[in-house]
Amino acid sequence: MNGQRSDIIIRLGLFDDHDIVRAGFRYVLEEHSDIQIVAEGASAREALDAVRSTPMHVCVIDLSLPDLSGMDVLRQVRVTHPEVAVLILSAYSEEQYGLNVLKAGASGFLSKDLAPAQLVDAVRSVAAGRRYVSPKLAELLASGLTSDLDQPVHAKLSEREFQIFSKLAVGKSVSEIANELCLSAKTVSTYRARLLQKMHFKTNADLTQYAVRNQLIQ
Amino acid sequence: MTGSERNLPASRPIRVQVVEDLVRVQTLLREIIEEPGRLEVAGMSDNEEAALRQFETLQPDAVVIDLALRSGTGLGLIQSIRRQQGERRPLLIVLTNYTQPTIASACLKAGADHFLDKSRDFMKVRKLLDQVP
Repeated sequence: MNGQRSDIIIRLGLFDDHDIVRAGFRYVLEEHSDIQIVAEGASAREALDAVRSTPMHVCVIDLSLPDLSGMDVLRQVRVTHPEVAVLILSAYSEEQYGLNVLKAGASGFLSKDLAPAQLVDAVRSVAAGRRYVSPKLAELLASGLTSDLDQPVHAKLSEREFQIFSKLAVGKSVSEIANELCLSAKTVSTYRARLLQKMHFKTNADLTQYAVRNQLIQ
Repeated sequence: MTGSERNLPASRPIRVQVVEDLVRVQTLLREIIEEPGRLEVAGMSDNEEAALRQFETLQPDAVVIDLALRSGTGLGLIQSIRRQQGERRPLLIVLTNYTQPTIASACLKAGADHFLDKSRDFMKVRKLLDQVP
């Protein structure tokens, strides 16, 4: 073999406000010659500055930083540097945050009790463009035990979306609903499209079936 | 009786250095560790740099190390101590609330002999020090 793979160094940023957490992670990661820590800091501001100024493949960010939350940093990095894979680190459980973090565009969720080998696996996976889902989170997702999946689909709708959903489900037309709510037909159509998308449905008949099944209409 | 033999005063007390940033915990550790003629707390410090200087001067038999310090970290101190090891190898005991596996693994690889959970294993410190030859 030509040994080319060993030339690929994963450039990594590490942001956590606990010095000892960073020191521990740095010690474990730097034992691997394919991983290099190129930036480090204790705040969201430092993380955002580093992503802007220092080319990196992977950025590990604590969910609870003293200034902004790790989620805020994640959202900004997704927009400004979509090529950087973000791993969110948290002392909170995967049940509470795992799925939401992935949905917000993170490449993976790292609970602080993960084993050193899992940390290294996660960094390599996301650097290669894949998502990292820990075995525990995969199991939770499979059995529907994350907080997000516990909610019924209609609970994700805004108040206005739910109001329009209820009227569509009982067979009212877009123009009838527009009249009742003093909205334009175009606005009601926009709400309709948005709620269908959120609920992964295609037609008004789907909405009616769902409403009956979930006892939302008699 | 083997128990009383073990409790006989050694010719020289075992000298322990404590590295801990909270005064209350420093006091508690001193109370647990000190036994005149047998175990003495030879030095106390609350940050990595001062702890390393103190270690070099004292050359203690054992060091009890908290990981989160006023500045620097206990992990940095462990690495420095093990790099400059002389003919004697001091016992290094980590006592911390940061018990994540990644941090524990880093400390043990860096040369800590024991990794203790501050909220559960506090009294084990004394047991481990009793075993120092």
